[in-house]
Amino acid sequence: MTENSKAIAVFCSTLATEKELKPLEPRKWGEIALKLQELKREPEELLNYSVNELQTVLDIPAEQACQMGRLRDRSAALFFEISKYENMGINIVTRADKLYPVKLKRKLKNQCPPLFYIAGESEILNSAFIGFVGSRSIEFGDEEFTRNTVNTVAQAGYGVVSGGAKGVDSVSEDEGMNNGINIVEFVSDSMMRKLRSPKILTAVQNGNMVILSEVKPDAGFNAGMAMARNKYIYIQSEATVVVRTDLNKGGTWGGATECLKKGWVPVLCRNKESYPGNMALIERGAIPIDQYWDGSIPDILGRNTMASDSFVRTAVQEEVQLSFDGF
Amino acid sequence: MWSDRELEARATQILKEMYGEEAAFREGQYEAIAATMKNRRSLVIQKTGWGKSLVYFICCRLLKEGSNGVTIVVSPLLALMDNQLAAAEKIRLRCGILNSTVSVAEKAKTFQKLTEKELDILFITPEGLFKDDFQEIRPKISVGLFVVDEAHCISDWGHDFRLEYGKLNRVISALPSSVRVLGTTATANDRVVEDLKKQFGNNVYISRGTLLRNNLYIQVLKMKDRASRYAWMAENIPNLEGSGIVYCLTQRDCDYVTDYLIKNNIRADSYYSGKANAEEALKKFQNNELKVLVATIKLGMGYDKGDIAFIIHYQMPQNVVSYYQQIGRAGRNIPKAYTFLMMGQEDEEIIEYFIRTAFPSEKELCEVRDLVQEHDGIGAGQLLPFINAKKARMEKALNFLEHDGYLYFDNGYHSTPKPFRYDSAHYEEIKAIRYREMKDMQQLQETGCCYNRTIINSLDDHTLSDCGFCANCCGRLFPETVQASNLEKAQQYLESLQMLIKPRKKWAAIDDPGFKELSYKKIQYQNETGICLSKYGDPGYGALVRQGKYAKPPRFSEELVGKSARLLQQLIQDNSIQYITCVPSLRSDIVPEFTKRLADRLKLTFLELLEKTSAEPQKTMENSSFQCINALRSFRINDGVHIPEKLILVDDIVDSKWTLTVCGYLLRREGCTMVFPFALADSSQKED
Repeated sequence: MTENSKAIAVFCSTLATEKELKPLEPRKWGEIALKLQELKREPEELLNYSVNELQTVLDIPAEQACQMGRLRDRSAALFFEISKYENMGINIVTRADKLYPVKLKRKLKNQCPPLFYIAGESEILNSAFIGFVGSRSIEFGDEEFTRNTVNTVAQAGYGVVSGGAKGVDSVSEDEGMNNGINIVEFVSDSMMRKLRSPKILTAVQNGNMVILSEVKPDAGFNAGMAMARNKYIYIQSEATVVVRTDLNKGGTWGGATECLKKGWVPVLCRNKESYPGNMALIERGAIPIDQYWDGSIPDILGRNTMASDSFVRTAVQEEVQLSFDGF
Repeated sequence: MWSDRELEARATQILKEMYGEEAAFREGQYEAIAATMKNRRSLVIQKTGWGKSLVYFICCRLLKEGSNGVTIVVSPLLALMDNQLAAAEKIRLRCGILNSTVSVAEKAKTFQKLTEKELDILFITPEGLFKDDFQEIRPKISVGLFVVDEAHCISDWGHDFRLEYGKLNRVISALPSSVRVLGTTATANDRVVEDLKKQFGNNVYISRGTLLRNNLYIQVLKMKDRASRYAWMAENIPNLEGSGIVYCLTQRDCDYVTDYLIKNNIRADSYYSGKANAEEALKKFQNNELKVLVATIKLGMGYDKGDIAFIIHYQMPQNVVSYYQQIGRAGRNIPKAYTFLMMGQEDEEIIEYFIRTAFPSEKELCEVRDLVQEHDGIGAGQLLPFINAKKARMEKALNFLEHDGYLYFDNGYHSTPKPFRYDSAHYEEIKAIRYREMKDMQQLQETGCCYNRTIINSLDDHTLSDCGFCANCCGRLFPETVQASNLEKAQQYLESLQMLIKPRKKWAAIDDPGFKELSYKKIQYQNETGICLSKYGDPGYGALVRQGKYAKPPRFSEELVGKSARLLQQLIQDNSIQYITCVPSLRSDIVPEFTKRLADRLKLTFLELLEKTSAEPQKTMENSSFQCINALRSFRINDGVHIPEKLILVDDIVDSKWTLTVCGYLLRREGCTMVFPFALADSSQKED
């Protein structure tokens, strides 16, 4: 890790913290990152400031400066923890790292999380993916549709990005593994437990799979986190397939409507009349697909693109977007 | 924080509190303190007695004054030296220590003090640092300074591989530069220093002084045969003042040497891994109740006794660094100590074995990792029935895989996402270095130059002056020959050595449907304690056994028959034994042929009672589970034979004892009441 990265871990990682000492919230770090950019300073410098200096330089309340000082005091313990996870093959990647998921940084800018725990070869994050989302409990028809669609996506040259949960997530990943394509999982809990499955381990070892978690690797389920990571799936993808969603409730609905509103990527929705949630999404602008979908994604100009074109497309989009290269 | 001038004034004041108004820093000490406080990363490479602990004691005190957190000293030390503790107390440092000898209650108390900021300095073993209980309280401790004692261990180029140091290495590299880290060692050559720089960061401050110890009187004794070395020790140890250590390469040598010294009225005991009452022996030595402690390298780092007056190497150490470190145990708090380096004709073979087997093979690592991946959460013991590898080899493989981040332990072993790569180039490089280091050690024996200078030169202290007091500088210190009567006595002793074959009592883990019900059970029909004539390949009978096996055609000599007969006579008389049989073989009749001659000599009746069914050669079975299953599959009792009540059961080589155990089991199941095994040589490997 670079010194800047270490500094972000010191202030933002939940590792080696306790009830009385919480890490900085992502939003708070975002504010500090902007301030640092303004001052033309680097995060690593924060490791050597006194608490008073932190307060005056960053123009933050005394309480927050104190909190940062205490977070820093636990550095040795923290890096024991970090190196324990490194020995387990789980690394930390922060906004100061080149290997931080670049698409998230471009689209979420200063809103992107300060750090992720990551397992696997992060280079594959630069290839093109189709997202898969849907409810945790699915029926046979949903599973069949998901597997077929993953096969289509594989044929078209994409990988799969999903959330590692039960139901649609795990079916799409499993079919992706069967196809030997790249897979990215943004999990919201239990990263360590995931990594105990021999099939997943093999995929990660072979360089076909990356698992990312915003929460620490042994964290349990948390509905808020499960909701928050939805946007990472959409943003990491070229387009995301909604297999099945409830109407007006649940994580899938919330994630899909957020993406439609923000316009991050095209939302592709399974066109099934008996699923009212799906139909409502299509009404709100999701692109309907069925089992005959050929893997092409209609873009804003109405042209269909395949995976091979998507790099070109991303590049074009990049130009029109303001880049965010802060910490 | 202090200005440079304030810091120096304050540090000097603390020094005076410790050692009185006259005290002044030794060359380099203050610089090391200042670097640790300001630069935050420093490495102190200085000889034993230079005062490395003073550096961290003073830093600790300075940090305490600024409320800058606790000082943690990671050290393999078994106990703190009293004079060090006294020094710490003089400057009102509150010390804690956590090692394997600390009781649960004491530990809990230390933990509490730590979290309540009532300790200034904590000494902890590398193992303790990674234990779950310490991990739990870690977040509550603010660390001001992290000291790594014997820092050369965190370099994997160092000669001591320890898993915990590997983990520590990774932590040190991960720590942000704002955390102070001080490494101390007396034994790091340039190669290790370069490696340490990588872990500590390139801007690390390095304090490096001369390694010459000016009270070690070194003498090399050129006597290659065992009897001369035994005789020399028996003759000269009584003339040496004080107490000392005899270093041997193997545990077996420790036992024999100890036994011989005791027979010569020298108070001696031994110390090595897995020895019963090893700690007791150490305590007795510490309290000067022993003249000599006979030890393997297990007694190395972290052992401190201030008044060790002599060190004898019965066999040559693996390299000059180990040698320097081992003789460095002597003469800490006394003006003069003698060290004697002997070298046996067997040394090279033993050391080559250590080097050859130091690293697991690619196949071993691959197999073990695949197994763990298939059986997530499996324990080390549960792996044995799945993999044909020696238990020690498998454990070594597990350790390497854990060290290199392919496995981790958490209630059983788990595989990690890291793709497997066998770094054979790296291992070969280390092996090549170790062979070179062995040659350096051999050259030390031959050199006519100053021994002290030769040793420190090879540790990259390029001193050009001679010490003036070693045997090469000032001539012979102690006699290099032994009296004929003493030599004869030692020869007789070595001649009389025999090994006992203790019966196995429990079956191994068995994963074979035919014998599964035996798995881990008590063996219902056990052998009696038997006799083994020699250690395979050892000078004397051990060499004769090897010659016999490789003769064309294979045949054991009459000398072996005669010696075996002499060994067995008493046993036969005491137990009124009339019959002898042997372990059958499919490949050669060397054993039955030998047993028949032995039967003639002993006037016993030779019986062919056992039949070998086609199984794999036992010597290709690498661990207890595999050996046990293979032996069970290999033998049956011949049809229609009469089984006598008492028997001698002969085999040529004994290793795991499973063949003898299974043959004895079958014979006793068919009505025999006592089976006494006898083997010509033991080929099992036990070493530290």
